[in-house]
Parts: sequence; structure tokens; C-alpha cells
Amino acid sequence: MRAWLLPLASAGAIAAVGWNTGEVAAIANPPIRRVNGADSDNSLAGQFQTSAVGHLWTYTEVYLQNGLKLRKMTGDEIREYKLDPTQNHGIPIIPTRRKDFRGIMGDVERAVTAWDPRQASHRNDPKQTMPLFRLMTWMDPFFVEAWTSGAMIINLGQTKETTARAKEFLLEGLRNNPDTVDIPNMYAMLCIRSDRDYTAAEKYLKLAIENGRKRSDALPEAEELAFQSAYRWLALVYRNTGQTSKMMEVAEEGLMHFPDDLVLPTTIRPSVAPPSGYKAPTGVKVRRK
Amino acid sequence: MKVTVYKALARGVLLESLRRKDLWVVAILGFLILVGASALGFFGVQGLQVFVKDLAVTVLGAFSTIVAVLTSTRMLPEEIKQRTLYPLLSRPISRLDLLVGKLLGAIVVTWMSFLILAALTALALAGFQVAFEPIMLQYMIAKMMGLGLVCALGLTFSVYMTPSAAATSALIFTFGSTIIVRALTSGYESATPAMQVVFKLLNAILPQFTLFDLGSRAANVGWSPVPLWVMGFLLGYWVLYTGGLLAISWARFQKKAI
Repeated sequence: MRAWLLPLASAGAIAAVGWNTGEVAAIANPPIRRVNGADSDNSLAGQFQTSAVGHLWTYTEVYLQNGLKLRKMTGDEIREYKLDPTQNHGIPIIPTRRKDFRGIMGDVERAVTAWDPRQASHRNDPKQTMPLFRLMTWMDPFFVEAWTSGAMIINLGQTKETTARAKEFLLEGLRNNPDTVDIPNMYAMLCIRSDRDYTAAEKYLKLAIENGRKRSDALPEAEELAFQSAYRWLALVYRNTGQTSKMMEVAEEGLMHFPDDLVLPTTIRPSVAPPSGYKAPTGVKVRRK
Repeated sequence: MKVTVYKALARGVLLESLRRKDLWVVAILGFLILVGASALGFFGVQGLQVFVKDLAVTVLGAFSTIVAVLTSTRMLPEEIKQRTLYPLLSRPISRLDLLVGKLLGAIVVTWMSFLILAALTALALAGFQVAFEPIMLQYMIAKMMGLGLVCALGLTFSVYMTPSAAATSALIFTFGSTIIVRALTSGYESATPAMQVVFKLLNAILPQFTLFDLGSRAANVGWSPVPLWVMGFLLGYWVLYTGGLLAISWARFQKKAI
């Protein structure tokens, strides 16, 4: 047997096995779904995934603040600066000169790093954070907030092109998270706001509500807000398309889930025509009888 | 000054590095930078300068530090293992000369690798239309000084430990430097007076690699170059600390039975 045949055959065998690993992946390395309260993050891979994605999520703040790294203030610091103790407050991770025991070394570190407390009030263009959201969704396709926040940032320009890209991004998120509420709800909102496409919006809002119903007992806070929002938007869709009975049905069901909701009753309340002498502020359209 | 001796020893380190094809590894890493950069086109380039620059300084810093640690920690142990140290020491050079020459060689190899990587990174940044800023030049100068310090630390560890232990310890110190310093500054106020003394001592003796990293300023928008006195301080710190490390390694190496 020729000497080169064995390495060639081995490489061929490796390639053949590697080529077909797609089917094995789902069994050998099933995707980890991050659900509130579930113990799915206990694996080492899950912990790494959560940590890495969490780091990227917090790193978006560093990008927004032009490199300034903050940490949470301690209770003593909140008292010292006389701030509201019920809120979270940030403070630069490198201490000020007054608080730094390192003397000139502290001065040098403050000089060589992106350090300036005034920087805390400066905000960079949020678009700079987009790659971080893309990385987050690659690393953890089940991180719903990354899909929705990323879509929001893509659509900051609110042009047709950015909306189309945001919708595409959300659809990718929906393919990875078919049971989520937030993603279809946001997709529907984009359909309504930019395209006035009530048909598509109805489809996705119904999906959001259906997903919300299925998981209503275990919805995280953000998803629960989206669930409530989906009822509101769907009621608005029916109101704007003149489907009053459907609007009433949706509003009633929404109020069963969220009895304290103040928006849904106003949505279904008949519009009141203003008095004849009323003059609307500039830019506000008034419905006339 | 034994310039000729140091030059010959440093040249030896460089030739050995070329013989081992270390620079090929650097070229491959650089190629990876370019491939990674081209993959970034996926995000769209407009308005993503911060991300591109941040990634560039992170990758550049990490790769060059690894090269510095690996080069500096294996020079002496390999000379001893391959018995090439004997002909070297039979010449009219002292053990201190040998250490200085080897350190200079490691610094040259590391700086060459860094400059190759920096050139490739600059190429990638130019592809993204990232404009050159004076702070980037300062970043490079400070980084090169920092890499010199990493080489000195690696060489010192290699005199006291096995090559693997030296490389691991040097990597922990270089990459963990920020974490250690942050822990010291955060915990200082709430520490007891006795512990505060320990914190001060630790801060004084630990190598402050963080001071040589201008990456966060270079990567973000509109940060001005650092004042000249800071660059002067970094140069002084580098020379003094490297001198101290050389003295520590010489103290051990001159008594080491070879």
C-alpha cells in the first residue's frame, strides 16, 4: 500500500464523519433553553454561555458610555453621596483621586484609561452596541431580550431599510424562540408603526397571545409586559380595521389576564367628539363627527 | 557597556525564534485577525468603529502578550536542557550579561511580533475606514513598554520555575493584573488598617501591567492623548521594574548549579 494512501483515507473518513455531525448535534449537544426558574443552566456549558452573554449584555453599557466602566455603588457610597437608596447607582470602577490609596499610580491609571466621571453623562451612538447584540444572539439564540433590544437598535433610524432589517432580525429570533411572546409582539408593532400592515400585525399578535396563554404561569417580567402589550395592540388593530366585536373579545380576554390594565378600557371606549370651539394643539389631529 | 555581547545574545534569541518558526505562528494569528475582520462586514461597517477598534486592541494585546510570555519563559530552560548554555558561559561573559542579552532578545522578538500584528491590524482597521489618531501611536508605545515588562517577568519566573509553571504564572499575572488591582482598590476602604498595609504592599510589589494599556482610550471616541509626564512615568516604571526583576533573577541564576 502506498504511504500517502493511509493519511488520505484517514482524512476522508474524518471528513465523512464531520460532514454528517449536524444530525448528531441535536442529540449529543442539545441547545440549552434559558427559562426562568428552570435548572437548565446548571451544566458547565450553560454556565459559560450565561456568563459570556451576561458579560456582553453589561458591556453594552461600557460602549454607550464611551469606555467608562462603572460598578454598582455600595450602601455606604449611596449614603455618602446622599442618593436615593431605593435606586441602583453607578460609580466609575477606578476610584477618584481622593479615594485612591495608590497615589501617582492611581493618577497614571486614570490618565491612561477611559476615565472621567463627567463621561457618565455622555452617551455614545447606541448603534455601536449592535455587534454585541449580534454576538449575544449567536452565543445564546434563546436570549430573547438580545433579539428585541437588537431589533430596537437596528431600527433607530426608523427608515424603511432599518425597519426591514429589524424585522428580519426578529424573524430569526422567532425561528429560534417559537414560544416567545416578546418577539412576535415587537414584530407586529413594527408592522403597524412603519407599514400600517394590520394583516401581518394581527397574525403575529395572535401568535404572541397564544404563546402567552400557553406559558402565562411562567412568563418572565419582560414577556409578561409583552403579553399585556399584545392584547392592547391587537385591540387597536381591530379598532382601526373596524372589527368592533373582535376588539371587544380581545379586550375582555386581556382584562381577564390583566384586570388592572388602564389602557385596554380606553381603547374600547367610544371616541368623544370635542366641543365645536375646541382648537387642537399644532400637530394634533382631532376626530370630527 | 557590553553592547556587542548583548547584541550577539539578542541576535541568538531572534535566530532561534526564526528557526522555531515562531513568527509563522504570529503570521497565522495575524491572518486570523484579517479573516475575523472581514467577517465583521456582516454587521455593516457604518458607525461600528468602536467595536472594530475595541476588538483590534483586545486581540492585539492578547496575542502579543502570549508571544511575550512564551518567548521569555522558555529561553533559559531550553539553553540548559539542550546544553547550549555551556559554550555560551565558557566565553568571557558573566551570567548577568547572559540574562540581559536574553532579555533584550526576548524583547526584540516580542516587539517584532507585536509590530507584525499591529501592521496587519492597521490594515484591517483601514479596511473599515477607521481614521488614525495620535492616541493609537501612544497606545503602541505604551504597549511595547508593557510587553518588555512581561518579558522581564517571564524571564525571572523561568529562573525559579519549570518552563510550564513559569509560563502559567506569567500569564496569570499579566492577564489577572487588572482584576488584582481592582480588588485592591475596591476593598481598601473597607479593610482593617492592618490589611490596608498589606494592600499597599501588594500594590507596590505587583507588576502594574494595567498602566501600559491605553486600549480603552484608543478604542473609544474622542479621548485625548495622555500627557507626556504619564509616558515618562511609564518609561521610568518599566526601566526600574525591569531592573528589579533582572536583579532578582540574577540573584538566583548566579548561584544556580547548571
